Amino acid sequence: MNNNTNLTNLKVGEKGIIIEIKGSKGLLQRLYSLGIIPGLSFIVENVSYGPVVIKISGTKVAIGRGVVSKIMVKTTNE
Amino acid sequence: MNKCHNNTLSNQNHSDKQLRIALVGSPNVGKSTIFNSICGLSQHVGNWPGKTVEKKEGTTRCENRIVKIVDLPGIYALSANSAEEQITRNYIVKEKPDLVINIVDASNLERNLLLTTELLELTPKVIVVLNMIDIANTEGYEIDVEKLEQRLGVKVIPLVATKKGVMEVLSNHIISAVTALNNNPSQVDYQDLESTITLIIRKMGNHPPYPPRFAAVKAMEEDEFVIKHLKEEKVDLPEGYSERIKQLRHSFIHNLISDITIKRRESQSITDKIDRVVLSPVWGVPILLATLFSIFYLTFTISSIFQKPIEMFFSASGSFIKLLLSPWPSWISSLIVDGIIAGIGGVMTFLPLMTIFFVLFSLLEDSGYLPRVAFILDRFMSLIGLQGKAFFSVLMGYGCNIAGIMATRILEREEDRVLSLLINPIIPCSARLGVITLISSAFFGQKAALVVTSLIVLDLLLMGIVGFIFKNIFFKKGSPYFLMELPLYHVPHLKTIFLFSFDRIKTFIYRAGTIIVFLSVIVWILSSFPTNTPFAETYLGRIGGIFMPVTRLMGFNQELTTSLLTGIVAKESVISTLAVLYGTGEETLMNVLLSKISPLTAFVYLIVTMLYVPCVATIATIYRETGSYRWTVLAISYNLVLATSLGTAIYQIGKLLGFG
Repeated sequence: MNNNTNLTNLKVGEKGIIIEIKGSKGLLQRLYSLGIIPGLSFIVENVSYGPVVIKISGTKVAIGRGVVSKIMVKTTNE
Repeated sequence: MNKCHNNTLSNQNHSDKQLRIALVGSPNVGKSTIFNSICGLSQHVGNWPGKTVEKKEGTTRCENRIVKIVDLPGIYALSANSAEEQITRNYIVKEKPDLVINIVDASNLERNLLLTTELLELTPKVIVVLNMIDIANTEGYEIDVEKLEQRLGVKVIPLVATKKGVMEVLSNHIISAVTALNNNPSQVDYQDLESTITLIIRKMGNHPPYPPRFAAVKAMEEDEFVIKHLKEEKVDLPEGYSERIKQLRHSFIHNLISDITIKRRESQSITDKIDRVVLSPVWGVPILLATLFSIFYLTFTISSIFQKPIEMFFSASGSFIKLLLSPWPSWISSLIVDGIIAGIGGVMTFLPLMTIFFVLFSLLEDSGYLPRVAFILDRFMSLIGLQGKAFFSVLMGYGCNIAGIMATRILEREEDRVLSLLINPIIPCSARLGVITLISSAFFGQKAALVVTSLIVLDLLLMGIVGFIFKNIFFKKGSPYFLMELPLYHVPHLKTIFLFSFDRIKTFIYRAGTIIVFLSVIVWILSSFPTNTPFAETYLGRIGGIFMPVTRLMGFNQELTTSLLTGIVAKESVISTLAVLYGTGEETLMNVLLSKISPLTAFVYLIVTMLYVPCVATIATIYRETGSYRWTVLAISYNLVLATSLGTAIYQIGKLLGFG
């Protein structure tokens, strides 16, 4: 079963693991420094018209739409 | 800088030698609070050479030794990805501070230790301050500090920075850490990649200015600076390890944390509870609007209490000095009273407004709400090609455009920074808001609040339009990305708020105040000579006259036109200039104005005052921050074009409709 998807498609309260981030080296580094690293699990805390808030590595991070669409995730809901 | 070479022997023998300590930490970990607690007012704020990144230095004493403290920029990692990160790692390897104090948020170890582990690869002279240990405890975490110390191999000091006596806690540890010679911090175990790291170190030979292991790891992370150096050394470049290195570093930290912390209970944090309301789709925007409204409301009501006494003080001391100087020629007393004292007075009357605004702003910032504002407004800001964080500079601009323009520094992309810097002068600063409120209340009485509000809304619209146009002409390339940590809420720390506001006010007085007082004297000279002539014949009157063909289209007389000229020096001085030109005091000026100009002209004058050329200090700041004449000239000219065309259009249409 393939449940890989784009972070945009997740709803509030859903959990997942980051699979892959498509983006420039600079963007990857910026995401890394906020604790957003492939392989880590997260929970979606807020979905607005604009950015999405996830909690990952113990940090709440707001991520704008443009970046969210570059993050591929796997949902891990029970 | 100190001339001593960093030789450990001389270090030991000269115990009276001053110490140099660097603070390193991520944003929102309380680094500034610690820096402020240690250095208080004895701090100096400047720029890192060639960079638009703030450099903060301060001094203190620690067991009879002078300690110089550098507050390095807030960073999350030590890559070469941003100017802040480059500054930090270059400072550590080139300036070789005696000690690096790494400030870590105890309630968020997982992310904070990413930086710590990188730092330990760069230098062994580190002590870790575990700040906000109280918050970690209330969140239900118990941290075994001794064990953490063992695992990291460096001293770890738990602390609550907002409590008194930070330096008392730190000073013992600082001295013993500086004198300890064989600090041997633990290193991340990169497991199967260790052999590759060893291989790179061996091949490096003449390694970059960084320690070999740090350089090798960074090479595997595809760090451009290290790679460039290795290319010169003709070392084969490893590829495709970047992600794996980061993952291994993270899992090292993850294991470490599960070893040293006990989660006593699952608790929903206060921050989560607040965010559930503050960031909710229903309540988010209303709460934000209410907050912003309260800021403006409080700023104006509180500052008006101070404004009158200050005005009275300056006019009273003016008359007193005139009396004292009566034996001297009248031009001397006029120069001192109408030139210098009026200039200083003009600056001082706007200080309460600005001070209260900045205090409220920093209250918002220190509590942790400001990043949420950026989150809520990201969507709106993206309409004009900017991201949420750019709103900080907009908000700050209402206090003072200089501060607003400086606040664009937090934007990562140069394009975003220049764009938000260019539109900042449109935002009416506290000085302009003061002038607008004063004239509106004279002319529009009961409807003044409505007029001022509509002007501010019009202004926001114009800012949006200009932003949109500039984005599509100059900054088509790429779109901004919004990425921001939402830190935990906490009770604001009064000292931090005080120092933050003090810092902005100092910048204003230093940057703007001096120019304003100097130019006030020039304006006085121009308006006083040739002597014994009607105003229109003075130098200032003649200069004003040059612009009359244009300003007449907006319904302005020579007095109004000339006041706009001096307004370029400082926006608030349009009022004092008008008072001088109409030969009245500032108290009776409004009555005189009512008899001389129509409400339509007054309204157009308000719009033009709000929009035309930025003040001299703002122009200087735009140039300093962009380093470009092109952007500076653009900022001046688009404001001028906007003000003139809008002013003319409104006046002409208003006259047609019979309002003239």
